[in-house]
Amino acid sequence: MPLRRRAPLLALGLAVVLAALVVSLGVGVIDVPFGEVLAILGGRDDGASLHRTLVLDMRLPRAVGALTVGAALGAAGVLLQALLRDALASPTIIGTAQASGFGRVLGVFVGLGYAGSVGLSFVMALAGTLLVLATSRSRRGFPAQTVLLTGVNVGMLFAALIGLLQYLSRDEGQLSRMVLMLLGGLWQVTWAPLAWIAPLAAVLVAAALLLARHLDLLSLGEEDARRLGQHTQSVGTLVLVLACALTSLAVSIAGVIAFVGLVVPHAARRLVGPVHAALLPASALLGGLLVLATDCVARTAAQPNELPLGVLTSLIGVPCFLAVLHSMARKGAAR
Amino acid sequence: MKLAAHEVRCGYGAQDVLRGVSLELREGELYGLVGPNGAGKSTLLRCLYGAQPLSGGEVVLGERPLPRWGRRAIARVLGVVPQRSNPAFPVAVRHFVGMGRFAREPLLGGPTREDERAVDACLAELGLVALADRAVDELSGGEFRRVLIAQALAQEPAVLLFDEPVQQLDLKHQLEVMEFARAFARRAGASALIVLHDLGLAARYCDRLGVLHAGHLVAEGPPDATLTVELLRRVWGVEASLERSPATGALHVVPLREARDA
Repeated sequence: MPLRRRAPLLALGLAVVLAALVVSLGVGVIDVPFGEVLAILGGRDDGASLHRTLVLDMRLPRAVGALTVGAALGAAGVLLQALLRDALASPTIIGTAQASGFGRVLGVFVGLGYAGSVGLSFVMALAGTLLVLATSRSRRGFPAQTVLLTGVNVGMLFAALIGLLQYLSRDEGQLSRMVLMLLGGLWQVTWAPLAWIAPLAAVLVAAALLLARHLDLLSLGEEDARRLGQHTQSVGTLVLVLACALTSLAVSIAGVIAFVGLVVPHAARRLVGPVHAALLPASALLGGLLVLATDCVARTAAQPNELPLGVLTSLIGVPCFLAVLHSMARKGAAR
Repeated sequence: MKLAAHEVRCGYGAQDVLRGVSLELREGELYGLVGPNGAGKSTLLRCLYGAQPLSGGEVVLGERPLPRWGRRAIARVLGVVPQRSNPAFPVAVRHFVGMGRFAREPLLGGPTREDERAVDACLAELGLVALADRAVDELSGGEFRRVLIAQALAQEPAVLLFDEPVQQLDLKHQLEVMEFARAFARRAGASALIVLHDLGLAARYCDRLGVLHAGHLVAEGPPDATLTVELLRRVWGVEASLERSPATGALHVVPLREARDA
């Protein structure tokens, strides 16, 4: 679908996300009226109120973090699903997220800085995913069952390695940082890393969008894509690297958040169809929206305590996933 | 454009499927590739468009050997209608056909207005306009075959290769596909090669036949001169009678029984 026909839909999606952003900045232990939120964002307030600190220094980074994590995972899910030609693929299902989490924790364990750990997390995501792909590749591509089973196993491997690191950790502070890091949540988000992670994630999503047409071809299957003129090997590699990079950025901000990368592409496919020029931006926006909304619930549902975000997304994601599986099983039976 | 195989050898592992096959597809002709099951027809077809690595010989497209063409460049002159295709997600017919334009679109930009017009023309030519917005997994076998042909046609190729395109089609759709293949081959500068099981259709529509048997091209030429009772016994292992249809003037093969010594 060419841009001129996508533009209105894209604008609508952006508007919804922006409205959700304003709402999320207003709600919390202390509610800030939306008019005031807009005034603060526009710099039209008195400049020194408690509300200003609350909105700009506490809630805004968290909301931007949520949008970044959701968009990155939504896009990564679409990329992996096109690469593997499988609607059940996602960063957590095939072990990319767990591998990435291991890299992040390993970075803390060996005393790397923030950027260094993010880098290590990317390297591990790539290594874990390549292990899954290399193991499950057959002459005719990637058979779905093998990929999923291998992915689950590789995910367990990295979960075990994370456990090993935590066991080996001798320092209480380090241990608690590792545990909190992987619990899946956004309460520890600050501007310092976000200032480069969010733009980097945006650039990667934009790069993926440039490949939208290639993703259409890739999901036809290697044989067909090559017949129609695609260099499937190089495009596939590029898509893999993008998916792993996006996953590791999301994991670095918020730990392992399951099901966003799986459920969001499905929902987006229902809304805008399977053509990637529409599906990819829709997934990124919807992913951002979902994590933002879920995080709002996490912050406010059990005030003054906070629910773990990762737990909430799983509580939402599991029933959705089961519904998808059920409908696929029924379709399979009908054939 | 010319497409030629020179002494092509190809094997899965140690067992050679093709043992030195040479053939030339000339401009303006519809070439039928026939042979019994397992003779290597589909493998040869895959060799002809670079999907199968050769263990010997070469395939020449136009003036250059295939490996010296880029993949995109090949897709702009050579289209393939495969036996089947399983898109992972149920895209609409228009979009599926549109993917035939891939090699002609800008590398990162996606389809232009010109590409959309070309897709519309292909949909119209194959009678798919009414189905354009249907999902490809909702089509009948005959409809999907037309969609595959439209996709290959959208490449605007000079050479079209068909891999058993009439398999599992009813009589009307078989004729439709054969008529299309012949009409395509008659276009200026075009040619087509078609893998067939049905010798009657092959004899009626093709200008020349190539008979593949156990990895060798054992006979080649105009259908009337190529199909003989002796050949049918030796290659297909059947006693058959060859009759000329009064309606079409083409040879008709009536298999009678298995031959005693194939």
